[in-house]
Amino acid sequence: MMFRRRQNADWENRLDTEVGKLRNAETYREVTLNRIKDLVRAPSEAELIRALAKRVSEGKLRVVYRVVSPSTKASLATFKSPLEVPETMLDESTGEEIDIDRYRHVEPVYVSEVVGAK
Amino acid sequence: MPSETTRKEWLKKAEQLYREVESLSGLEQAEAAKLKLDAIADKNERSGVEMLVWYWLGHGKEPVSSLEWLTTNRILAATFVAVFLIGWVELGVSLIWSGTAGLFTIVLVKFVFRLFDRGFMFRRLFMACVSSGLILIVPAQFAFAFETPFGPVSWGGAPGSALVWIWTMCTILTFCGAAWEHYVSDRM
Repeated sequence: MMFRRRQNADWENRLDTEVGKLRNAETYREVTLNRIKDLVRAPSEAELIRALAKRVSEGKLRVVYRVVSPSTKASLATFKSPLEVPETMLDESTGEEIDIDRYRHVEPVYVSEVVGAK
Repeated sequence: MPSETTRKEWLKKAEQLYREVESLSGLEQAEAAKLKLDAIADKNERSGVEMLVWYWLGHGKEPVSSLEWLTTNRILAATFVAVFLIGWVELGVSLIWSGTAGLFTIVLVKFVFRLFDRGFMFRRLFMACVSSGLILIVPAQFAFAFETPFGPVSWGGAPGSALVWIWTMCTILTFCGAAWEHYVSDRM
């Protein structure tokens, strides 16, 4: 709302600090959504996602999507878009072909530069 | 830096896309979302909208506030209709003049909304009011008047009360705007 106080809460300051660290990293650096949640301690995950999406839209933050093995939690592949994630993949950590749930088995990763994402 | 309006536009795009694809499933949903996202030219904006939509599809979207229907464009449209009807029905002004008055009013209201969006403008207007008051009123206080062989020569004197009132009101209003901007931006 136009008249609501636009308070830049402490958690947003912490988020900006983390975004700054990623932007100014001299070598490749990445932070998963879960790690950001722990570092920032936003009032809710929905609010954190909105704040992250705002920074991604402004070009301050880059995001890629990592497919994680449901059984071993190993990283299987990284994609620039969650919509590019295939429905089935070979889980190299178990050697089995598995069905991928685009929402449960994929996690956003915030990176200093996009390297090796499909 | 993007304005609040631009940010709201991103959110609106994400919400619209989410509504359009939430009832679909699997590959069909992904294809439909991809098609809509391809229409967004700016790659950062596309990435931000995509992240929001992906999150909402996976985790569900928080309920929408009942005040979200009160958008700037709807307020402007209602203002136009109100001014037009008051002019045409109540005051009996012609269609053309009522329409012109309506358009003029919404331009003014839009300007005020822009001020709220770019709140720092209130500070500038307040400083402009104070400066113009000092420039217009202070030199006028060094009043003099004397007769010369060529007629009377005079300068300054007390400004008209209408001018002082307008200046005072503008200064108070812009000060309130600046104080509001100070408060909402948490500059205290």
